[in-house]
Amino acid sequence: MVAAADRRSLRTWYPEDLQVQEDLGQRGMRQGMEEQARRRVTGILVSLFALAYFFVCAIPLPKVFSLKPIWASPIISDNLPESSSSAATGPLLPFSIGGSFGYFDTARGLRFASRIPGGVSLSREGYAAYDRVPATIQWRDVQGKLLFETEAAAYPFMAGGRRFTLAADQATVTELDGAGKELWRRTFPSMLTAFDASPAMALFGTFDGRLLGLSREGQILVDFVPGGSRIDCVFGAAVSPDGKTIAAVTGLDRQRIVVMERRNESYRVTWHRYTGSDYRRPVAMAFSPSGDMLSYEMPDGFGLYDVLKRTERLLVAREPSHPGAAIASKGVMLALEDGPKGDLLAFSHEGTRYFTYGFAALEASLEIEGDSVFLGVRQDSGMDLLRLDFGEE
Amino acid sequence: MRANRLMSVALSFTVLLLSASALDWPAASVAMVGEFGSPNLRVPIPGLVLRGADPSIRAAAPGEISFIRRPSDSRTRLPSAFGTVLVAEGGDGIANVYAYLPEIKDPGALRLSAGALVATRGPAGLLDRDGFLFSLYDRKSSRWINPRLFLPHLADGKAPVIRHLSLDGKDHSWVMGEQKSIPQGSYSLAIEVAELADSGSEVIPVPPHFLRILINGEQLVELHAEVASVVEGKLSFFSTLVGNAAVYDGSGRLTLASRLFPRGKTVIELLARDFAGNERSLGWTFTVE
Repeated sequence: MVAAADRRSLRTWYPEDLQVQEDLGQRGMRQGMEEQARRRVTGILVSLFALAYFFVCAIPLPKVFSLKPIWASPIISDNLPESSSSAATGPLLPFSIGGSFGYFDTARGLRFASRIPGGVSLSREGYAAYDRVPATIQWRDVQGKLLFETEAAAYPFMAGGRRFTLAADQATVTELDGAGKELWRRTFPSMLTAFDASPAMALFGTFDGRLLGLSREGQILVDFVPGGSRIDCVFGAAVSPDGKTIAAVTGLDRQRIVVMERRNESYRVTWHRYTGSDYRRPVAMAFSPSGDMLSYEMPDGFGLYDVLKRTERLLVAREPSHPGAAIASKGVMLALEDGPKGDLLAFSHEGTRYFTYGFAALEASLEIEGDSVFLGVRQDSGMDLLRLDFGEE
Repeated sequence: MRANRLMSVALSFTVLLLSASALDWPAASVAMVGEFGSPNLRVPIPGLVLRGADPSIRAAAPGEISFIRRPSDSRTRLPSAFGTVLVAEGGDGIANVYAYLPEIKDPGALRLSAGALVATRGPAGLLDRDGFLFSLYDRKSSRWINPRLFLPHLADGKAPVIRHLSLDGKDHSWVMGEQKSIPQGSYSLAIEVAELADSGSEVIPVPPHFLRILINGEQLVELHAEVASVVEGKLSFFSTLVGNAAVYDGSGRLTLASRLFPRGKTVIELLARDFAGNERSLGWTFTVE
């Protein structure tokens, strides 16, 4: 029992406590309301932040590409497929694989195939197959129709829509017009080791390190020795389709890549780099069809040089071939990896790897037309041509 | 200018002789099937085409391998008329070139030792006979050098054969020995010299190692087929006296610079000597009207 005094004290206390409790209650209510307001404000702020983040900081999702098989066509040399008797429905593109060469219709498949005699020079304009020591060279169009014949003990080669022959000294070159008439003939200072051509320029590299570019009339457009190495030699050469940019891999100890651009009437070095490579054989390099990207072999893959930005990226791949191939409309670079397990690699110009398309092959070749990729594949069981179309999802 | 040229050649050869490593024939019991400057499929050979008793091709000297090109290499659109070619740096800017080789294995090392197996001879490249090419290239002066200057002497008792000497004008060519007089005018001398092949029956066109021509007792040209360089897009051989270097076309024909033949009796004397020291000399007398 609480004593009366205590009750009184309690009564005396209780009203104050009650007041406190009343104050507490009102305070509590106020606090609750304030809390709710804070929460509301916080919620609004978070929402606004999220909205801002969504628009300002969002990173686009990476492109997703797919390769859709369209057709597969076996390659059987000297055996014309049925489709060859009818008119081609698509462009005819060349292939060379496993000692055979020929052309295929992009819409349907193999058009014709032949065994390579001594050698063959192929282009999208036509071909010339030849014996090891030819008495004559027969130049044919993509359908196999004879265009003209040249009587020269020389090897034919083509690039940039132009036709050339190389004499037995590995230094004398003749350019021919569309009817086989000689346009110019020149003996280079030493053995030729590298070559590329566009309609505007035929670029030759020599074993003693000289770069010579000639016009269609045989006039010298560029004559340059990059130097800078203990042993001078040109191992790779490339010229852009418009002829305004040329590139070469030159020298030993140290080896470097040199890019030159046309300024007024002469070519100036605009970029070069010692690559750390030590290639002592021909080096693959090529400009993209647009001419604004240059790709070239590197020990761990290949390099991509942006001509406009003058920047370089290195892409890792296992001994790639065809490093310059591109699906222009999709901004995708392609490279075939050499080896028993052939891989088709797809990259962006910035070096992002999109995907790897794996397939088993002893040997592979690559052609591109529009958004279509054409693979020549040689396996133990035979050889096939495959068409795969690029799609973006 | 002539004196300077003589001195530079002499100096070059002295440096080469003093600094270049001695060479061994790159094949055993070697036979010469193509001399320096002789034609192969309408172009002059910038070296020696050799054939050994056995098909092994060996390094003539030690060197650092600087370049290998196989015809099957698809990294370049350029064909290989030289078949498989291997270049080894012999030192002092002299490159040893082996060409018209069939496929070779990866050497496995950057340095080639003297006598190391380079390849086994077989049909390769644009060569119209059984053999392979061995040559020297002087990087410093951008010239092919006749390797015979540095290879052991090959015994040879056959004198060169002078097949043809003509005076070529704008419209007509006068073959010496076929007429007693020619019209006055400017003519260039065209000479064809050949050697008997080892078989003794085949005649192989070849520029002589040494050639001297006198006209009326005065020396017109003295030529040493020891180096060759490209001048204005054509392969030319060094000549000591004629203003323009002698030019070989692809058929083994040597053409000298044009000169005026004035009226009167003219005597042309020609002396050709091969690398082994065998000589042949001939003379022609005719009247310029």
